[in-house]
Amino acid sequence: MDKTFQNLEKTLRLHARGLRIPAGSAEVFIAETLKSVEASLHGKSIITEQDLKRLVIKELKKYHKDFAYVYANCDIII
Amino acid sequence: MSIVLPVISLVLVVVIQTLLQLTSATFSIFYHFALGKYSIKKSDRLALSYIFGVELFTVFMWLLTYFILYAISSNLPNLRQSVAMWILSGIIAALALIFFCFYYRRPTLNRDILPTKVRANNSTALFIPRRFAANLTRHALAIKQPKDAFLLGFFVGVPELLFTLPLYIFATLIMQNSTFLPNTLIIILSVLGTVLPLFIINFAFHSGSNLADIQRARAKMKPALTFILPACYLFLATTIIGIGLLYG
Repeated sequence: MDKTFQNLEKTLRLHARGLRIPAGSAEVFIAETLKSVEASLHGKSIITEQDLKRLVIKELKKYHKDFAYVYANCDIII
Repeated sequence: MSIVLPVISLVLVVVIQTLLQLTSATFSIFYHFALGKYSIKKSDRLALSYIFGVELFTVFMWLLTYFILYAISSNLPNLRQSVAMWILSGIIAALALIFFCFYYRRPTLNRDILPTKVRANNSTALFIPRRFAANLTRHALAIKQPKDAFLLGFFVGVPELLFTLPLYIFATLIMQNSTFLPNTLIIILSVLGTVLPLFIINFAFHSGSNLADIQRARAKMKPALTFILPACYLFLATTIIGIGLLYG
């Protein structure tokens, strides 16, 4: 699970820089998102990739719409 | 009359090459990742290499088609030009239907699990297999040097050959039989048509837009393109029939 979160954090950082979100704000968005996602997943025995993605998008939408949009649509651009 | 139809058909070929989406979609995601990893200067250098790769692939395909057709026509001198035109016309008309049905992938149940408000209303996922699309995204992410970007740009056009190869063959047939248009001009226009969307996307990134804006614009354009491109293919098939009748 830790590795999944590390990869997720890396991906989110990459998207944030690609979207040119100021570094400080991006760090706060990512940290808050991961914290909320981790809390939501607490105690659940089975978590699918889609569950994780849906939760991340839900949290990101609170902070930055474009960030959430890019993360949600990344796999359907091509 | 004999000049007008070939010119119209060549313009249609360039328009179709400009509107096809695979190279521009890959470019937008590649440039987004490049901006995420490197400075704007390095991202631009990588983008130029990618664009150069796309240009070179287009030129390569023109030359390859030209020489293959030249070899075929010199080995089979009795092959009638009009027969080739009729066959091509049929293929291009069929491509219009294939494009309309399959170019843009229909949304699947799996994708609908995500919240629809953040998903593009019209998924812009293209006809290529999902595993291949995921590979392209992974390669776009992994680019470090200009040569990687060049190779991505060169090979990204390969899956789209299904839609572009008949155009190259048709335009080459016209080029081999025309004296009114310099062949180099046609190739230059075709290359410019292919890379124009890439320069537009690059310009959009430089003027403050991001991948989200570009993807929203692509999603908005999708319903129009679903009709415009098959219409272009059908119109091209009709003009080829006209040219075939003229040659016939």
